[in-house]
Amino acid sequence: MKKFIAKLLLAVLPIAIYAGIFVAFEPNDYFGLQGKDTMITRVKQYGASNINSIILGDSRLAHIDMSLVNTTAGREYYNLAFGGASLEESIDLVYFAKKANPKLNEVVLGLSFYTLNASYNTQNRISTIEKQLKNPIAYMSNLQYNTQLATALLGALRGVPLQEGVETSEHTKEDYEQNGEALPYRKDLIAYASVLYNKCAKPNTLTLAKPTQDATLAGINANEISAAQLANEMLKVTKSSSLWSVNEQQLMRLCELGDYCKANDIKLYFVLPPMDISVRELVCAPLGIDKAMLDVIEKLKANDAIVLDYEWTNAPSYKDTQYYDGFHLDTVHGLPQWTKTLFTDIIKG
Amino acid sequence: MSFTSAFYLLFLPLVMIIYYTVPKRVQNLVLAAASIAFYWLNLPKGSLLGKNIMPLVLLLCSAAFTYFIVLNMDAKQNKLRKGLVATGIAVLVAVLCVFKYQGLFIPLIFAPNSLVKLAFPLGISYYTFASISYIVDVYRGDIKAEKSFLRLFTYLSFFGTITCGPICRAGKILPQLDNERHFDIKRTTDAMRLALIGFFKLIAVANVIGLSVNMVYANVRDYGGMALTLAAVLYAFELYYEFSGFSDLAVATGAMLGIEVPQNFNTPYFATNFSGFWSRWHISLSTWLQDYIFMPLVWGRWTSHIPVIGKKVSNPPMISSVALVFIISGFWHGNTLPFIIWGAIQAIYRVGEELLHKYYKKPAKKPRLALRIFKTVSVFMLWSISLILFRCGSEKGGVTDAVYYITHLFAEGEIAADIKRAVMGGFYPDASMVPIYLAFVAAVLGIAIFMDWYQCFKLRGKHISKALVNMPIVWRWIVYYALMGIILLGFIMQSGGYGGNVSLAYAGF
Repeated sequence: MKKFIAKLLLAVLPIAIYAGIFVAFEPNDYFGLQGKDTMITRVKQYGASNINSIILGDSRLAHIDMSLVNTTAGREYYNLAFGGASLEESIDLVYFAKKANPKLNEVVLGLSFYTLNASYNTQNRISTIEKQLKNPIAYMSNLQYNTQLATALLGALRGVPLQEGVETSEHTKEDYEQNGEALPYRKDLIAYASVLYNKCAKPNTLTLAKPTQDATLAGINANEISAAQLANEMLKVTKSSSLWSVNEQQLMRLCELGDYCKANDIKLYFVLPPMDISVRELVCAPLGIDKAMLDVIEKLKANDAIVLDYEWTNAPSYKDTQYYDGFHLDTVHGLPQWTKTLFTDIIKG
Repeated sequence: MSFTSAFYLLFLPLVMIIYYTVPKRVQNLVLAAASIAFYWLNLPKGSLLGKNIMPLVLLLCSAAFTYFIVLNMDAKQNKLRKGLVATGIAVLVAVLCVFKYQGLFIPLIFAPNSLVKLAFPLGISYYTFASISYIVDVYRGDIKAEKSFLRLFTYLSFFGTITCGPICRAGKILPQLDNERHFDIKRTTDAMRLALIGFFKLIAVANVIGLSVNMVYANVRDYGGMALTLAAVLYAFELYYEFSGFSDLAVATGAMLGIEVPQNFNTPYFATNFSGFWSRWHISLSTWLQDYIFMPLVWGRWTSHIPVIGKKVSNPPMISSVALVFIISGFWHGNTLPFIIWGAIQAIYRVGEELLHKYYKKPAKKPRLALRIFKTVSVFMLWSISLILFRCGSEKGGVTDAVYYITHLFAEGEIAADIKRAVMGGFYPDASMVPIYLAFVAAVLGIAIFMDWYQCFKLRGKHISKALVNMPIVWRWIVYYALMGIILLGFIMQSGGYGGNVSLAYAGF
């Protein structure tokens, strides 16, 4: 019998080794051994945090400095925003948070024309995450996490350090010109704006851009693509090429959320973070998104919601150097400034 | 909970520990309780402790009904025995039909758009067929009536076979349940080897192939002819390795508990004709259909009862009975029209073969290699085409999609782009992962086919797991670890089934 048990243990050895490697290097610190701050750890620990104010949204709110938030607001906030979060996921997280912490009394929910786009990927990972939080095997067998683990391990073996999501950069004169000629916008911002056409316009609306931001920027830098001509092409686009429309289902859910929060004494703020002028002029205006978004804001306000809009009606006059890309504020030069503005406005009520 | 869920790996050892620790007289009680627990965990959501207990009640009622029919039959005179057998079979078949074809019955009973929907009882097709065979076997005098309800219930509800079969015969299982079962290291080790092969077939081969094949079948009209052909062939492999893997796990589960469960597959894709194919595919169903439908039809000369033409029939109705059996098999497999057509196609294949043998001379027993390969490939391709109906039977498009599929098998299309789309849709939305997926599928399929070839031609039908026993210990462990690594990879490739589209076709029967 002893021999049999020894063989049994030997047989499960590869599984044990795999589990060991996974637990030590997995990307989201599910088991809490690495001291990382990730979406999974945030959701997992929220119930025990006793923090009654939460922040939700996508990457534009995920990277804000929480100590600055807490200092500015004078109370503690818990950040449940995460990169790539769809509006559906953010709304679901409100209900999840209320279930995890019945004392929840304040929600700051980020939205934008990008997440309100009906064509935007409306995948919902919250139910999967909830399942994973209850079942470690569901988490450990997840393909995406294992792919990230393999990438990190390969990088470690090659001596390539893991890149953290710091979104800051310094800009030089070269970023604003091509072949010695001045450009209407920073080169990478033109490339970024062109990529937004993938989600907001009919296929092949732009003939000059390459499919990804990196490819377009590389093309601009290699002089294969004229940044000035690309910007000009975007300015000439008409509304007939637009694929963008309001996700009515999620808009309705936002209104329902407003009613739910009112009924449960939760103060709800809809926040539209600022974006660079290049996105507004090269993407939103030609495709007619700006007018539609103003209607959305009016509809939310008509439902007695508090809307803090820095995207359209109250856009701050930041320089383009304060933006990391068209959508994201630079975490050093722009985000802290806006964080202070936002939470000062929230305190003012 | 299924055999592939991680919980099962805790459930089975726990059952084994209790089962082998308790005295003999309690062993069946433990097994029955474990089967109820297994069934409970598979019940749909409902109001009693969060479960809809109707399927479990039905299983208990079905077993009780079978028990009382047989006990009464045993005590009655010949005339009444016949009536009881007929009643027993009729009631069991009627209950099966109500649940299986509820889509047809419920609108008739209630209203066309009725929202009434009965929860489909897991394994109803399997335990109903097992019950019928038990009633008939007792009636024929092949076995004695079981006096213990517990033993009969343990046989009918055994968690190792209730999900996907095999359909066990009472004559084989009930005597085993009468004996004390002891833990045996060699038998358990053999069973674990068998389970390893079963997991490999099910998780690493079938489920991984299914990730992309499901995408094609869900969007038939979006793919070109070559992609459709490839998906049809891959589905034939998916279905076989899924079902055969599951059967291996059922046999292994039985062996770990000291119960011998029959093998359900014997390398059917190396058959050179449909007669051979059906004696090697889902063996427990084929033999059941043969013993309880085909033979009575032939013995009873059913065609002679047909008005007008019946009187002219003198020979035993072999061919028409074969056709009828396959059409019934279609009904057993599914409740939509494509399944019935699938059954009819099997009848055409099988009857066509019989007619060819009748009018031309029977083929040589040992044909030349080239002819053998040609016949094997032909049988496989014809089978794969028929499975298009089988697979479409579970989709919304049904017959329309199946007809479109078959008529566009070799239509134009961009095969590379289609494959990329199917893989990115079903597996991982990143183009760089497509070659990894394809390489994995090619590798596991290669290994699986080699294992079948070895089993068929080198082991003469003995299970491939037996080949591992004779290997040098180092090589044996290398194979164990390699298989475990591949299974783990396959498990991760489908996110453990927690987020992927993992199907289990035969669990729906």
